[in-house]
Formats: sequence, C-alpha cells, structure tokens
Amino acid sequence: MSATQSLQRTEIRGRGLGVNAGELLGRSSVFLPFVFVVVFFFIPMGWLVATSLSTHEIGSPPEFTGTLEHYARFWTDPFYLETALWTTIKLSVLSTVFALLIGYVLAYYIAELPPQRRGLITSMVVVSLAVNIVIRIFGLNVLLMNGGLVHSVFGLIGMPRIRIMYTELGVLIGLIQIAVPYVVLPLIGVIAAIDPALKEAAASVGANRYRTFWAVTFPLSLPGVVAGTLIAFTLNAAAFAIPALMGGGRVRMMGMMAYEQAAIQGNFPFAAAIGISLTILSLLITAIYLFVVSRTFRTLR
Amino acid sequence: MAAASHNLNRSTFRLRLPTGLEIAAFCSFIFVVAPLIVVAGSALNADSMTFPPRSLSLKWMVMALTEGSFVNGAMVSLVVALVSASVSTLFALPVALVLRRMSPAVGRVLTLSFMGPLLVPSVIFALALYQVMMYIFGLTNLFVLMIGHIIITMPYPVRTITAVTENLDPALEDAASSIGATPWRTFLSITLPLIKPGVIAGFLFAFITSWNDFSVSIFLTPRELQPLPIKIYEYLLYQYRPIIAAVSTWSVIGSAIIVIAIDRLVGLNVFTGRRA
Repeated sequence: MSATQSLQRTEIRGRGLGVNAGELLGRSSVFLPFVFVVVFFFIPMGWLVATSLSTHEIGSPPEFTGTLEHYARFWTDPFYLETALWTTIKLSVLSTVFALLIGYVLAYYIAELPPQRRGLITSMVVVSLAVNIVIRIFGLNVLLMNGGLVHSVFGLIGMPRIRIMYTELGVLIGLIQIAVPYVVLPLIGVIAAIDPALKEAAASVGANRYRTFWAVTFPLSLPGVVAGTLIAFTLNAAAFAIPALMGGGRVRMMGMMAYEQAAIQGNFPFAAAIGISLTILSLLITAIYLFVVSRTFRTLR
Repeated sequence: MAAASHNLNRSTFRLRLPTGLEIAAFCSFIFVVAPLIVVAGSALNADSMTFPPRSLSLKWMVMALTEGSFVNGAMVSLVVALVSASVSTLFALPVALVLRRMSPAVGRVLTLSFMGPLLVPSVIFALALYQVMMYIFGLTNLFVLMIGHIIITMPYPVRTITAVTENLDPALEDAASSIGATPWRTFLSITLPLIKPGVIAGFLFAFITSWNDFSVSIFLTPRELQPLPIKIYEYLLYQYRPIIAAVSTWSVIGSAIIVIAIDRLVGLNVFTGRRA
C-alpha cells in the first residue's frame, strides 16, 4: 500500500518535473526565433505598410503622411486595373486550374502504380521541383521561342505559327509548368492512401470506373487538391520571375510591377501599395476558396 | 454464359481505359520534365543554341566548370542555402516542441506568426526587408540575404517537425525525466531520435527553397556575391549562348544528386506526404 503510494507520488513529481523542465527549456529557446521573426519579418512588413501610406518625392526618402494616394492611384486607374490587377487574377487562377488538371492525371497514374514502380517517375517530378525556376523557364524559352521545336512541329502539322513567347499565353504556360509539381506531389500521397476496399465496394454495387472516380476517389482526394492548388495559386499570384523572363515586359503581373516600381522607378511608396494590395488580394482569394471548399464539402457529406 | 460475357466486357473495359489515362499521364509527365530535357540537349550543342542540337559537343559542359563567375555563383548559393536551412531548422526545433505543450490559443498565434512568411508573397517580403535594411545600414550584404532566406524557409521545418511531434507520446519524455535525466539528456536521447524524420525533411525543404529562391535574392543580393539563379537570370537578359545551358545542366545534375540523397536518407515520401 505504502509502496504504491510512494510510487504514485514519484510518478506525479516526475511528470511535474518533466513538464517544468521541458517548458523551461522551451520558453527560453523559443525566444530567439520569435524575436528573429518579429524583427526581420513583422517589423519590415509594418514598415512596408507605413511606406505605402507615405508621400513620394523624387530624390528624398518617403515621408509618412498617412496618405491613401498610392492605393487610390492603383485601384482607380483603368491602366493598372486592367494591365496589372486583372492580368494577375486571370493568369494565377487559370494556371492553377490547368496545373490541377495536368497534375491530377499524373498523380492519379503514379498512385495507381504498384509502390515499387512509383520511385523513378516520382523522383523525376521531385527533381523538376528541385531545379531552379530560372533554369526551367530558360528551357521553356528555348522550346517555345520563334523557330524553336514547338514552332517547327506546328509548321509540320500545318497549324498557324502563333507567337507564344512574350505573350500572355507564354506566361500562362510558364506558370502552369512551374506549378504542376507542387500539385502532383501532395496528391500522390493522398490518392495512394485511399483504401482500395472503398473502390471495390463502389464497383460491387455496379458503379463503373467514372462513377467510382467521381463518387469515391475524387472526394477523398480533396485535401490533396486543396493543398496543391493553394500552393500553386499563392506562388503564381506572386509570380515575378516568370512574367519577367517570359512576358518580355508586355505581360505585367503585380509582383513584377512592385519590383519595377521599387528597383527601377525608385517609387517605394507606390511599390509598397501594390505589394500590400497583392498580399491582401491573394489572402482574400485564398479565404474565399477555402470557404467555398468547406461549404461544398459539408453539403457533400 | 451471360455472366461470362459480362466478365469479358468488364475486362476489355478495364484494358481500354488505362490507355487513355496512360497517354494523358505521359503527356503530363513530358510537360513536367520537358524544360530539363531541353536544357540538357541545348548544352550539348556544338555552336549555336538550338533544340534538338544539330551537332554534339561537350565543350560547353567543360567550359561551364571553368567559368569563374558561375562557379562563384554556385558557391554563394550553396553557402547561403546551407546556412539558412541550418539556422531555420535550429529555430524551428524549439518552436515546434513548445507549440505542442502550449494552450491551443497561444499555440495558434505562435504558429501563425511563424507561418506568416508563407502568406506574404516572397517578393513583397523582400521589398519590405530591403527597404528597412537600406534605411538602417544603407546597403545589403550576404548576411541580409541569409536573413531573408531564413525567414522564407522557416515555415517548412516548423511544419514538418510539428507534424512528427503531434504523434509523439509525452509519456516517453516524462519517463526519462522521472528517472533523473536532465532536460538536455531527455531531448538528445528521447525526443530528437523520435522527431528525426521531420527534422531532416524540414532541413531539406528549407535547403531546396533557398537554393531555388529568386524573388528574395533579386532584392537582397549584394552586387559582388550573386547566387547562381541571379547570375543565370542576368546572363539570360543580355546573352544567349550554349554555355548558359551547360551551367544550367550542371545545376540540374546537382539537384538530381540532392534528390537521390534525400531518397536514400529519408525516402521520397517526405515530398508526397506519405508515412513510410
């Protein structure tokens, strides 16, 4: 009796000690990363907001006056609304949809393979993800340029040799290409984890492959679809290297425009206003998307 | 008889459909890897840059290795990626471990603050950091570049390590402390081995993110120490010779080696999110 009691007491004391020690270690060791994030992320972002509310004069640093002129300039001028805002929304949404279509097919195929045969093809997708974006765009560039392979093939099969590079179509292809691996990889895991018994059950009650796919596989793969499309969308809405290298200055997306305003025009307040607008826009579209997904998901259940 | 013909129908049905899927999957796969094939093909050109190459030569591949500017860029990229991935993993460790023991409300705020960099486009964050650094120091240097990379890479180890700590049984650590192990001893001999897959995966994600980064580097990079992506970008803006394809091909080979290493060390499941 007393032995059990003392054992219990040790246990209680032991657990208390463990938690305290762990928290002591934790609290102090989490301090540095937290300060780091505050100093080098939140303060600069706050600074950027302040800059976007400052007046711009050539040759002098921005002066904080609380003005909304830069936001007004961006959100009322049809030039910016059409060239930057609309192009950004259109290209990022379209590229996400196409990346999902292309990525889903590939992920489904890989997930249906026996596990030992998935390795090579998966690693090729991972390699393409691990290769620098500038290099991948460069490869697309060689392929799509006037007189390149795609043009020659178009000529051979008698299609008109439309210009692809330095057009919106070129930028769209670039955005899709960069986004596909981000969609494929989370989907492989999610689709492969679906219990085959569920599909067999659907088949046993007479569903064909299409029915089974839409009633079983696709709904169960939705978490992977959401994860992949969210990464693809946030990356593409903020795309900067792709419009810069494949748009030839003609296709303007907001991330690139913010860079140009800051680095070339030296207009930091306007660049900041574009940047903050882009961030809010991207968060807003993400929130709407998640809201719609969760609602449809609930009605499906 | 009827049953047999039904079966036959089903099996032909099954045989035909995968071919459609296979063709579509093959096209998707080609689309994913096409740029890499094109870059490698262009690097083997003898004189001008075309794909498919007209006459083959390895001279550009050799020349790329002796071109000081690109080798220098690769070294800068490598050092920046190693340092920022290590620091962000070290920072992420206590964050992920503490989040687990915190009340849900506090934990959520903390997670959000460390995931914040994922929600802001990296080019916009880079603009913000650039402005502050220019205001305070009037210049950017390699340290500032590394700080930028640590911020954008930190969400990955925080997420991968948090994912493994969720499955961690606190009783194991408590057991170690109850028999008198110091917190450090408990951490090193109990916690760390259990969360190792998450730590490695987080480090590798951070490394790849830093190695591939373009938008943060273009703002924060110092003139004389440009990482490889910026070097290639600036070269492509003005010139178009096979040497840039050769440099790119070496970089692709480097990435492939890293991926093979990841496969050997922890398996490619870290990318597809499957538990090994």
